[in-house]
Order: sequence, then structure tokens, then C-alpha cells
Amino acid sequence: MGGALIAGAGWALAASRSLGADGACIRNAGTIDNYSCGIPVGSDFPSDKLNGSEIDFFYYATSDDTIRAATCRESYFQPYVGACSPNQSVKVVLNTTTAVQLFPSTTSAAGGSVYDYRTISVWAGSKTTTHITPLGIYVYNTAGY
Amino acid sequence: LTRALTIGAVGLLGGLIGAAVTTWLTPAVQPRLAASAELGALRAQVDALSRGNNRAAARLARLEANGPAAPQAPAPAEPSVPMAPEPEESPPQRPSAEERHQEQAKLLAAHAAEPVDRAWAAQTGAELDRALNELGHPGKMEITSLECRSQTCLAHLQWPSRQEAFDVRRSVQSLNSDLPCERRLYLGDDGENAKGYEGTLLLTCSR
Repeated sequence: MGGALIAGAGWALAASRSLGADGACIRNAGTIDNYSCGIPVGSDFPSDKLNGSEIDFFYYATSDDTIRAATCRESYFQPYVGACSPNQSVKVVLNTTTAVQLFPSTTSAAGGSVYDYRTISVWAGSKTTTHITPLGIYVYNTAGY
Repeated sequence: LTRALTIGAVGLLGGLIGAAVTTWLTPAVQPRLAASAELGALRAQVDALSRGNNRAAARLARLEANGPAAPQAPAPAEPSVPMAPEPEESPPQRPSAEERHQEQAKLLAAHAAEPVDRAWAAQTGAELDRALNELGHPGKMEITSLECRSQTCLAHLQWPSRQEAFDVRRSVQSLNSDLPCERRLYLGDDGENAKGYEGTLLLTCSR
């Protein structure tokens, strides 16, 4: 009973944001598909309270490959420090457009300074024939706003 | 307005007590009290009220200078509160370069102090080496050293220049590997060397 109440309180305090890929994601340079989507944080969505992220995308692949995603944090004040969570991955299904959700850990993105940039990235393995179309990202926090 | 009323009430109370004391201390009764300790106590009370009134006036002046005029509608009665100055919200401090260097040095020291699990180190090191080589030497990157211990791996990576290291930073952080490891790429201003530029990649893995 007590556990249920505590869990209920935690749920009530959770908050989330969703961003469409059109405004949040960019394709990184290179021949292999690789996208990074910005996570908006600030006093109304504090970075140290991030506790979940999701990236949704379509892909189309004609060769065996693995698509991976990670949340990262980058500090551009000298010295440069970039930190990424362990990857989440999915092996491709060939010759069909497929929608996928991946949920990379936010342990790296939640640390650091409020001035750091935070992204969710998704990238194909080693094949230029794997085409990724990011749809959007969802991020969650425990602050309740 | 509530604060202004509170301040006014304090001032009025001080004035009333001051007037009462002044009246009481007429020449007729003054000699009786002149030597008494009670007079001293009353004067102390008046001084205290006067000081409080001055602080309240100063605070009122600050509020009037900083904020919009208080609404004219009567405010509901509320208990008076202490008039401590409100803390000013300042933006959080950026970590300095020195703090970042110290953080990196601490992580490297922790890696160096870690015991070596030979089986894990060999397996994880081989996978990290494969994943780094699969990147195709972005920016002409070379792996100059790679060492895994029991939970962390440290790789020193060499590029022709710092700019080339920076250009491919995301490729290096996005390893094609399913190692359960957080990657931390550090490109410090201490990485310049005779061959170009050296950065460090530190993996912290869960087991």
C-alpha cells in the first residue's frame, strides 16, 4: 500500500516533452546516416532531473546492419568534454520500411553543467544502404514540470 | 501594500510609545525617574522601535525602487512576517577549465588505481579496438594506446590537429559497439604534441 502510494506520487511528479524531428534533429556529416536531436533543458525542464529518453525513427535497409542510439552531453567550454550513455541497438529487418523506438539511458545526459548541450543520436552501423528517417524524441524528467 | 501597512503599523506603534514616553517624562515627574533603571529600559525600547522603523523605511524604499506600485485595493489581513532581505537569484556558475581538468584527472587516477581483470580487459579491449578501427580512422585518427582494467578502458587517440579531432568527435563518441559502457571523450588544451594533437577516450562500463 505504502509502496503504491509512493509510486503514485512519483508518477504524479513526472513530466515529459516531445519534439518533432523537423525542428530538433540534424544529420551529421558523413556517408553513413547519423542524426543528432537536441534535448531542450532549462529551469522549466532541469537537466539533472532527466530520467528517460526515447527516439523514434523509420529505417529502410537492404543489407544486414545494426542501428544504434545514445544520449550524450557535450561541453563546448574548454576543455571539450563529450559523454554518451551506453548504446541501445536494433538489428535491421531487410527491405521493408520499419518504425522503431529506442530508449537510450540518460545517465550521461543528466550529469554535468546546466550549460552543457544534450542530444539523442541515432546512427546506422557501417552500411550506406541503411537509411534512417528520424521522427522525433521524447524526454522525461522527475521534476513534475 | 500589505508590507507597506505593516511598516506603517510598526512606525505608528513606535510613534505612540515615543509620545507616551515623552509625555510621561514631563519636568514634574522627570526627577522621580531620572535615577531609576526604568527610564533606561524605556529609552532602550524607544531606540529599538526607532531602529526597526528605519530598517522598514529602507526596505520600503528598496521595494518601491525595484517593483511596480502596489495595488490600491485593500489587502486581506495577514500575519506580519520578518523583514529579512529576499535572496537574489543568480545564474549557476559554469565549471571552470581548472575544475574540468581536475575532474578529468580524478577519473584518470581512478582508472589507474583500478585492479586488472585480465579476462574482462582482454575481451573488452579487443571489442573497443575493433569499434574504433571500424570508424575508418576519422580525421586520420590513430590509436596510440588502449588499456582496459576491470571496469574502465582508456584509449589515447592521436590526430594531425586539434581541429580534426574536434570535427570527428561525434563519430568517436558514437561507437558501433554494444559494450555496456559510457563513453567520455576529452579534448583538452593540454593535448598538443609534436605529432599533432592527442585526446583521451574513457569508457566506464557496467558489469
